[in-house]
Amino acid sequence: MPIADTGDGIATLQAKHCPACGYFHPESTGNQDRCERCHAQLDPPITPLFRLQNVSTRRRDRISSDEEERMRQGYELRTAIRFQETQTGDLSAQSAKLTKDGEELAVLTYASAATISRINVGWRRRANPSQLGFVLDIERGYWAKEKDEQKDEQDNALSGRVKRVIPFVEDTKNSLLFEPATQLNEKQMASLQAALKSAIQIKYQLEDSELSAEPLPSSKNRKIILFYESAEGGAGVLRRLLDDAQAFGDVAQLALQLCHFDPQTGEDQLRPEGSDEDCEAACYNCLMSYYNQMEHGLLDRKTIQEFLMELSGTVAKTSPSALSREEHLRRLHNLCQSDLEHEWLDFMEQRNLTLPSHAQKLIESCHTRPDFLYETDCVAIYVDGPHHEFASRKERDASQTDCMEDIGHTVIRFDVKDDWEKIVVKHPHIFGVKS
Amino acid sequence: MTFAVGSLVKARGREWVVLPESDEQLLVVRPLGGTDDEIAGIFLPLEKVEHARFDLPDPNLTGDYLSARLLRDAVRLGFRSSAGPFRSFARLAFEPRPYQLVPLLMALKLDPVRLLISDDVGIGKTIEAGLVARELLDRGEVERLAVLCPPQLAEQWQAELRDKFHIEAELVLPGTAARLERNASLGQSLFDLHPFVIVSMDFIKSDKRREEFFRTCPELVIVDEAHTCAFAEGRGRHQRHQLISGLAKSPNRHIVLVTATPHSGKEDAFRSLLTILDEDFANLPDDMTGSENEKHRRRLAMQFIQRRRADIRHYMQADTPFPEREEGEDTYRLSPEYKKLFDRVLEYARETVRDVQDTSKNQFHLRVKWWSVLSLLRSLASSPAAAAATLRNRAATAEAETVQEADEIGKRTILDMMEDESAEGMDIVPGSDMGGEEEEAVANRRKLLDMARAADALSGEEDEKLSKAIKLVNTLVKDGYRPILFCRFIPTAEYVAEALRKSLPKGVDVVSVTGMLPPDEREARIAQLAESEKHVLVCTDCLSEGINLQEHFDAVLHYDLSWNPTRHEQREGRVDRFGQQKKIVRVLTYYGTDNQIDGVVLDVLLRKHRTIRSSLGISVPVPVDTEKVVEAIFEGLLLKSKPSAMDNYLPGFEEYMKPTREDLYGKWDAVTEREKRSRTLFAQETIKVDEVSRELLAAQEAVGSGVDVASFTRNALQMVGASVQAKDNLQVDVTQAPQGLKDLLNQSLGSGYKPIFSARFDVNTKEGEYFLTRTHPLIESLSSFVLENALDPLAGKDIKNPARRCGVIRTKAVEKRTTVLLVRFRYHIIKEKRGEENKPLLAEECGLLAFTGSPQSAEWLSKEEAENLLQASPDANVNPDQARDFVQKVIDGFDSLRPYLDDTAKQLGEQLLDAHQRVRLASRQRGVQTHVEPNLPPDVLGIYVYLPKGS
Repeated sequence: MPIADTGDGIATLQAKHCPACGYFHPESTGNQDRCERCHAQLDPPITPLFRLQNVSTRRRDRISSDEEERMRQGYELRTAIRFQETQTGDLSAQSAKLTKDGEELAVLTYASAATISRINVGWRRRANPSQLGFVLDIERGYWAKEKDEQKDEQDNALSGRVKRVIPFVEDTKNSLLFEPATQLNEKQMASLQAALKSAIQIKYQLEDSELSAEPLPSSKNRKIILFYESAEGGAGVLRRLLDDAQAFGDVAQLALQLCHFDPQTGEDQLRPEGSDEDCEAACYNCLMSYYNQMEHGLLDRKTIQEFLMELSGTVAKTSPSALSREEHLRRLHNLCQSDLEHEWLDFMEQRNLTLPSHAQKLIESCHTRPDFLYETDCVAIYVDGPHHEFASRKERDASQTDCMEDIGHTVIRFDVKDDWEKIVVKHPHIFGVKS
Repeated sequence: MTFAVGSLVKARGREWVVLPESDEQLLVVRPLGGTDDEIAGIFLPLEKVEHARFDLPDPNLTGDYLSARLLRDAVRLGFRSSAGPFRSFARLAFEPRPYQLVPLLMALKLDPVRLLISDDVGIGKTIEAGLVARELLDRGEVERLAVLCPPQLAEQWQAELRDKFHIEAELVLPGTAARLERNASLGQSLFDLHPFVIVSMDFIKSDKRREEFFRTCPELVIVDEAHTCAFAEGRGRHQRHQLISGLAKSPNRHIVLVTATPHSGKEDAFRSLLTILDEDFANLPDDMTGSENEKHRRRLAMQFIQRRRADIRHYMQADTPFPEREEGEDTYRLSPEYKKLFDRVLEYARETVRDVQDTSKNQFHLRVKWWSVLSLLRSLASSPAAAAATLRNRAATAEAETVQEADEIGKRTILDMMEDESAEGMDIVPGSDMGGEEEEAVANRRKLLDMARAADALSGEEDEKLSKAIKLVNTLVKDGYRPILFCRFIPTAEYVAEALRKSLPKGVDVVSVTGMLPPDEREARIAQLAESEKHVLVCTDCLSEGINLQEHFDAVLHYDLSWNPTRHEQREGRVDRFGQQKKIVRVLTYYGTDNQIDGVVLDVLLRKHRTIRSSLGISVPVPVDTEKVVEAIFEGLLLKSKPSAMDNYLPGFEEYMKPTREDLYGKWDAVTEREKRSRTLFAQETIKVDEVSRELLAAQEAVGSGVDVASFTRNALQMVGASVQAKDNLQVDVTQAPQGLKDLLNQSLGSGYKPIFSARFDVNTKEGEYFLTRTHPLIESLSSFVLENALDPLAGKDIKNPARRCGVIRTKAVEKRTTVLLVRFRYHIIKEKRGEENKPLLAEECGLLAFTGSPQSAEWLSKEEAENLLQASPDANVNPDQARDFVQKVIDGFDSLRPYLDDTAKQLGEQLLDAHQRVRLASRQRGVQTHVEPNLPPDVLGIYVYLPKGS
């Protein structure tokens, strides 16, 4: 079992899970008040999360009706996603708008190697829905029974032999978020998820197990559909839905076909080809599959016919993707006005630290042009040469700092005589120092 | 080394606040951010104590928006002793309703406090009197308190004082006095030993004890059921009146009189109560109306408050959730067998009375007989059990020696007319046997015993009254009500309870409580009964006064009618009062259609009473001298009507009754009219509504209003690891929460505490739910837990410590960097009376100070602007390094902020002084000097920086 840094108990962490889009904010990434992806206000963190790394299971020779019951019951899983960060500290994701006749229908966001966390908050039908997690025997490393916790409570409240934790696992996967521009209802989202998943599989000839789809932020509150390449190493297909402007339109057409609609006219053909039974809401030829049994009650192909028809003619307009690190660095270098600034950039580059987003950008309200700027974090960098030693210059610098701080910017000065290393280490979150 | 009161010291590895109780050797201290329960004494010669400085927050522990807000809210909710106009508010375990402050404000304008609180039944007079007591104690104006009350209410007073006001009072009853006195040393009275006492009025009124009590009585006396102390005939009353007027002679003694019925129909009695307030009131003109008497009315209104429920229901927008009363009537018919006995008894009664009238001119003999047959009728109407007991027992009136004495006993035991007598001992069966050994008496006794056997045979099936009542109770229970059945006699109550126990469905508990049980045992029985979910209480009128039953009961069934309408009012007042959680309480009046007594009582007395109440909004007692009318009615019933008239009212009887009834109504209406006038006369003129709201606002500000208690509770509980489920109520499970919090909750919530509970924030609480207000012990414990951990430098960043003392958010609410400081100011209030210094009071206040710009160039914002900042929500994230740097800047530049903080402390100190004195107008006139000294520097609990959100 992983032990906490303090040596006291097991290593747990807390994280905020965006209630609007399911974006994941572990505490180590800072004290966010708002979601980094969608800017919704965040709830108090989920705690204590316990990452399962190695687990061993015991073989059962016979399955009793107890186990059957448990299978049927299932767990309540929450899915959370977190994108990689770019060299400037921004979220590394590329988005594309699906538009038809200038009207925006949905937004696609592609993130390569995004971290996907699956959090198991407890039995689906637990007695107290607000109580999350499971009881873990932290001395022996077994999952304990609920009643052990209570027993423990009575015997000696401080023994701490068992602890309630919320287990989660994480993995990095190429992911695609599909976010309709207008809010669709639960049925529509569930049906759309099934239809699009199958359609993407058909288009790129994937196995059912190679692509996964999850509702975000939760199955009770479906706002976004998360697709990820679940096969080891990924299949590399999701990216193509953005790169090829027509690709998503094709997927929508396939989905229509799959749902027994004529992709051109939208006419309901009532049944799949070669079948002698009509499909009312969903069948194993269209939306249903073995894997989405839990959602079968929600699936209804007719609810999404209209939306798919609109989607089938869309074009994906991709936002400019982030520059490569080399290219970004080169641009920054070009803007530098002194050798000291070049030196500073080299210093950052050598240590593979987060690069500033801008150089020599004018901050109008303070009449200053910081040497470098981390725009999202509101951090201004001044790399000061020897002439900043003069008293008059010092005074001007101080008042400038005040002004910058009043508008909410942090000013960090790298004096030529300072130990730059120390300054950087002091601000690990700004410069991306890995501990 | 000396330590000033209110200063911070360091000892035993933590920080403490020095409390006023300290002396040169012993330091009485409270942990910083701790509760009153954690107060400790430190013996200076033995332990090392140093002055401490309150550290500024650690910038490395910056929190996010939620954890920072949690601390701010906790600070504002969790203050122990607060500033503001009232010293006592932070010590109350409940949130007083605005109207309940009026008596307190009146009291503070008086010195000595002499107040007569006569609000309607069920408004909360106990609370109002308690508020006065708590405030005077906390202001250091009195140190000792005595509550004088009827013995059966003593336990309840003790519980109220303890649970609502945190006053631990001793009971001084015949049973406990000896023990308490034993502990007192020579020359010391038990009142010196125990500063807070609840004294049985009947115990202390005796001639032997009274004189001593005058000498040793505490400075503040609360007299409950004060109408029993009004001047009137009768030995017991006389003694009580002597006691109270004796106490009133001492010019420094504060007296609060509490009664729902100050008039009881007798103007003299009322006037004698007024003289307790002020001797001059004896000279008030008889007729107080008219503009020329305006000054008298004003004078009286300063010390006398009387409000109806309707007056206060919407007082100052704060709707007080009194229950609706759903009234119903139900009837029964006597079974043939029962009726036969009734006829027999009536016949016997007629004979007896006629015999006596014819044969004897002896008035006394006549009265005794008269009363005994009446009592017989009365008990027979109640139940076979009561009738049998009456038939077998010796008549109470047989002990009497004079006509007056016989009448007094008779009125008391049979007519229910002794309005202002306590209900104690009233439920004993009166008895009908006149005694004597002569031949006639023996024959009479044989007759009675014969009837008694007949009565015995009637219990059970033959008793229609009982079987119908059982059905009614069953319906009530099915509808989710928990009824109280009021019976007139002890045997009836026991008989009914027994029958109910047999026939109600399983799971419904039935208990009977009568005057047979000593008062403390009554409460214990009820408490035990209340534990079961469905329950029925059968009791006599011994529970009809003063006792709070609204928590566990919500319906009343009058199994026996009382002949005194006020008694009905009081019975119903047990459940229909402030604090009743059911929205509708049910009241059922139950009577027989063919036993004439009930019909007459109902017709003549109760319905009339109800009409008056519904039109006037208050109950007006039956004018006392109309007892004769009631007697006349029964005389008529017994003598004039013929046996054949028993089926229903005979026209003749009706006619006979009419004039007497008209006469009664005439008098009654006159009293009602007078009452109506006096209401308008004594309407509250001295306390203006805006005055109350101003003080209330000031008090609330000090006790953390503006904090969203609901979201604080939810977040705080969640963040310390409790599971919270918010539906329409809040379902909380604190099993996972830190032990420290659980201990605190266990302590503050008392015996009913369970780790899984539900609560809500509005008044629609159901049984077993907590109604959370900002002063609820649960909120208090939660906020002090959060605060204590946040202020503990060793607590770290654990789950036990969810709140943060500093934080930075980026918001659109500001355009320039703005810093909010959460500051705690500590003051002591020093009162000097003729050069003599009282022990200082400690007041704490938390304030918000805000400035824009850097600390060096700080521009301070007004209080309102600072308050508004608390509502700002984050609009973008702040990098943790950046947050730390911004907080660090404030700490680095803190020296430039100190002068302003100190100035503010002084300024607020002056405001505090003003508020403190504003409400206590009276004491300023008596050469008392008060000044307030701030403890500098004030403590900075939190630093919160707001950064503008750029485009």
